[in-house]
Amino acid sequence: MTRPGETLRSIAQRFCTPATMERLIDPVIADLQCEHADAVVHRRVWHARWIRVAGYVAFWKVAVIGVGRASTGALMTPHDGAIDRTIRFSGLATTALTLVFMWPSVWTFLSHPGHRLAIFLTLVPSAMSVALPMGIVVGVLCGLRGRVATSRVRQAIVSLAVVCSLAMFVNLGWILPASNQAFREVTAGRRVAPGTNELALGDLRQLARDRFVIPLIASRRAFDFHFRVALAFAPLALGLFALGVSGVRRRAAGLLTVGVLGFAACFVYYLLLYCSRAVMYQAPFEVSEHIPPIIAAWASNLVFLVPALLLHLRTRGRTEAGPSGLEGAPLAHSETTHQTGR
Amino acid sequence: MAAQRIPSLPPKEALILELLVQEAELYGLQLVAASKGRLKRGTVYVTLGRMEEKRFITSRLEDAPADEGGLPRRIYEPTAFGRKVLKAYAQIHRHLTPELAR
Repeated sequence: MTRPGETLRSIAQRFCTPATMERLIDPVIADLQCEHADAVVHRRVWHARWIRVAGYVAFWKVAVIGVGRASTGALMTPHDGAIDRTIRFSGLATTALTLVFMWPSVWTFLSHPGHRLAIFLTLVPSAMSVALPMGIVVGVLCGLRGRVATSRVRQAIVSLAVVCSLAMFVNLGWILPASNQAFREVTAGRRVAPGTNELALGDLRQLARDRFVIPLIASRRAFDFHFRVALAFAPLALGLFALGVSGVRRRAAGLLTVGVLGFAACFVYYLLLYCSRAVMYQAPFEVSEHIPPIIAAWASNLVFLVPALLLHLRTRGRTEAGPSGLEGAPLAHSETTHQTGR
Repeated sequence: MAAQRIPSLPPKEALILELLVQEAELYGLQLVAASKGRLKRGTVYVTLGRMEEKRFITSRLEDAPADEGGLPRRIYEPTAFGRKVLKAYAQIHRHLTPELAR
């Protein structure tokens, strides 16, 4: 017979370190098994069931706290300041930019009778979809300003960019279309038929697969679908690019420089997005038919990912060339420079 | 010389130390039961792990499982350092509480 908690223990073994297993997981399971066995021996069936449920709840609590502590501990290195700063700057920049992007629409609809809160809330997802990639760039450039990103810092920033991209994917795929539609209906005061931007990702995909349309429409629909997916990966593309740039410009960059650089990168990224959309929607079909929609949609990401990869390889090569212990040496020098005000 | 940090003793850790000093050794669920609801089974093990890192307590696996095949329980007991910290905090508490209450 399988004892309670054995399956959970084997799951935990895949994710937790031996120390976490020994100190946190095993004591929970051991106590659960002993208490459960005791209840079974005394034929207290309901009590045994309750112990099982309470034990499982305790296990998940411990697992979440234990894994959380382990991951936080992994980040708590002498260089954790860079990660902390990057997250802080990214959060601040994203929040500020979201409010800035929302402001014109909020201002326009401020006098709208009622529904002010609804209008404000429905604008958040669309503003965030632009603000988040920009926030990541500003966060990475400001967080790593004048410092070498160690491999641990790089891993943390890549993880942050991946998490932001996944959040963007969910936002662009499902939350943004719904909020767009809600915004249109609230401002119009009646039901409005959803447009392409108001379709969830699944619906957009279905639409793109429709074969009974002329090639021009099919091409545009396919582009719309790939464009939505590609845009979700903007935080990853721009974040990796910013990470690469910060590795190159680790000494000379002041806060203003990195800020301008960050916004310039974002401007170029969105300009490329605009161009690719213009090509697919406004160029003659004789031109756009030769461009695969997926390539047009992903062009701006590729334009940033390729240099990011090259910069990453260059930075990696440079840090690996020196003695391993010196990976943090320029950091110390650079931080001293900052502290003395240069 | 590096400045030595004074060990902190949050209320939950103080409670666990008090219980362990009273009973000499207990396992997680016994601590939960003895605390009369002040400790939860979901967080007690995390607190115990932290206290072990701080060297307030030490633990060992019980000699033989209560029933054949099950995992051995982990039994916790206070260290001399833990007892000392608890005593120090109790004294501070005793000295400061009347003044603060005035």
